Amino acid sequence: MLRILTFLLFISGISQNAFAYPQFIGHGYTSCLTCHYNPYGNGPLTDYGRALAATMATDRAFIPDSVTDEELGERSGFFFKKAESTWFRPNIDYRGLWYKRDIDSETSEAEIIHMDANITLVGKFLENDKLVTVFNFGYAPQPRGRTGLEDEPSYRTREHYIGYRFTPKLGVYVGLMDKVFGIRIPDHIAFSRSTNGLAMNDQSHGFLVHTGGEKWELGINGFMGNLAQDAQLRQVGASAKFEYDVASKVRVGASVLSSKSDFLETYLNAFHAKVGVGKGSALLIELGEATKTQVAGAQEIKSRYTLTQGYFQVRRGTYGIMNVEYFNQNIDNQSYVMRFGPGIQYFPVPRIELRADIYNTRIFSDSLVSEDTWDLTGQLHLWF
Amino acid sequence: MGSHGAVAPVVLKIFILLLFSFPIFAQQRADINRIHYKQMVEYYETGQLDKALEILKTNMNLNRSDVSNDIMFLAAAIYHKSGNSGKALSTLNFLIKKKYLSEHKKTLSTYAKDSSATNLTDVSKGLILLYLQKGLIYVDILKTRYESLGERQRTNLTRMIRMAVEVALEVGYKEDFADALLATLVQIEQDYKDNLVKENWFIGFGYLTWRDEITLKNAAGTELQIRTTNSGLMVNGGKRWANAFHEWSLSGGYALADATVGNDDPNLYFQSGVSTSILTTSADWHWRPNSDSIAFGFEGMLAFRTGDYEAPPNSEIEGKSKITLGALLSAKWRIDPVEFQTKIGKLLGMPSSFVSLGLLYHF
Repeated sequence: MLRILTFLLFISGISQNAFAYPQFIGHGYTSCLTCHYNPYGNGPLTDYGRALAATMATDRAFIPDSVTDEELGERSGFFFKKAESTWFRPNIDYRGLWYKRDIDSETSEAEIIHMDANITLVGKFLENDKLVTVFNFGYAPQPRGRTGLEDEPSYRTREHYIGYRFTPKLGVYVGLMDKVFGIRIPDHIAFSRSTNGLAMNDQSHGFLVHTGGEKWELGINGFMGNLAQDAQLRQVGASAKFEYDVASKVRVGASVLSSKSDFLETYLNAFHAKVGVGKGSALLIELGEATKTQVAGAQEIKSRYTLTQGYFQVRRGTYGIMNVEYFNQNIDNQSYVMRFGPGIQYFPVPRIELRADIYNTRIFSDSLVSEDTWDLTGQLHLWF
Repeated sequence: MGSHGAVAPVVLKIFILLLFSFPIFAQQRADINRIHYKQMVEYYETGQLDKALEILKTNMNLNRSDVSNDIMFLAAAIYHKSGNSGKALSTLNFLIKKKYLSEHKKTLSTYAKDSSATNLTDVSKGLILLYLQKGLIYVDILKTRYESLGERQRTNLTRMIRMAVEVALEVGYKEDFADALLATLVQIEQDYKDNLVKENWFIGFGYLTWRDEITLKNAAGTELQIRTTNSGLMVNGGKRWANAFHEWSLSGGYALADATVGNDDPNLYFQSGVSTSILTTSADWHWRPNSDSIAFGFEGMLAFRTGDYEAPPNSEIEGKSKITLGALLSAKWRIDPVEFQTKIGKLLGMPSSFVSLGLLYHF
């Protein structure tokens, strides 16, 4: 059963549409708002974020010496141009995945999935871009391993919202967004995202209040589910996340989320730490617990997970990854799953990200012994 | 030693400019043999130092009082480039005593008293030139012999270089030369520091998991391969050697673990909560790519593991204990004195991976 569960988790959670890299705390960026319009990352980049992605995060091996970082930054706008409009920022994004599951299996086959191809239009208005509008639309494949989604369209919006910052320290956002909880890593395969209803298709309509000081950030998110979804399935509730810088490049935080649909009540809580180490390297740690209760029958299942993701910058644009995850789907049972493996993330030139990962999944059970699974993935991410 | 070679040509270039552009000793040039001087300059510039030395030896007597300061300065430069730093220095010292003795003494005492050149704004340009030339020689000595010099010698040479640089910068004379000299010195010191191997002891603890394979043999001699899933806690310790670019260590560890044992059919054999242990000794090498805060590399492991597997009636278990070798990938993140380490790899005779993560404390 656990093996099937891990398979489904992998397949359903493997797609990614996020473009949030919390490991950049290793470069001194503790807050997502520096580079993203959404204060918790993901989605389109600000002009500064695009310039940073084209310079700090990108290798220079394929770029002539005559081209300076300043020029790279200037050319980081839409389709290699310096942004001319003061208020309009279009963005095109693509993510493709090659993966081979359970490579030891005779039936294992490689597959390619076009995970995400979208266009995002950003409008920014008023002094210091106090008002932003973000609208995203594009191709998003139906999640694997889930039934009953045959009618779900392959083209849809995953994000659209209006944000207004009353002051640099206080902003309100209304629309369809990712829920605020835990560390928003781009790996939706991670247990911390896939098992908590925080994966690639779990955006929700609602509002977000974001505030913060020099060393802290607080986000309160009220949500009513995705209005495109069947009303009975919508998770309605609220979440909050608080983060505090205990030292330079060391940020700790706590999150809670409570929501309910006609069928399921969900309560999540988690603690996390983002630790920047050296030049550009980081450790991301999240420990969390989820309680899910079936409304009919009041069956309550409590699960726990941990995420430990280490990034080490080998050189500019190249990061090694070591991933260790734990997931116990029902803490009343002794059985749990661990997943570990190395990976590499490479930004060869501006607008291209390549990533390869190995995932070794092991099941620990007091009632059976099963084989490990080994999965390989490769990703191509382009943005213009 | 590292990359100070990139700075040295800058120093040399500035030096040549300085040597042939500054007319500080020009008033005495009438007394010298212009042909020999020009020839030596030409040979020096084209790197024909043997020929320059030959002229110096056969045609010049540096002890004569009528030998110009230009000749002596050039002689010092030729000696220096020929590798005779001692003679180059003694020539420059002779020149300092001959022309700037009292000013030199005053400069030394003021610098010693203030530990800075703030009050040395009126030092003669000629003396500064000689200081900088001596500084260039000292830099070369440090570059080639840093490790073999005593601490006191290093300090003295460094101090003299810094004085030359600070005086030049304070007076505002030959600042580019002074900056290049200082940059070279800083690079030499940094290279030495980077290459210095430091050693320390460490202890740690962590979580580990591995898969194992044992054999169940019944009375009829039929063998059944059985897999185990183990997880437990490990304590370890060792000694590390490290410079700025690499680190390597020898370590040992011991772990107590819990195992679930069985095969595809749990009716044939199944056991949970089996006590197992593993004793390891390792040698590793890690690369520090851009700072001493992170490292990744390889670890070679020799491991002895044993488990209290119970055989069913009329059967026996083979492979309860095993000695094996393995290779692991390892990554470390360090905020001194604590280090987080994850490892993943393969041990011979064990299916799938050996994984550990833990914290180390460095003394």
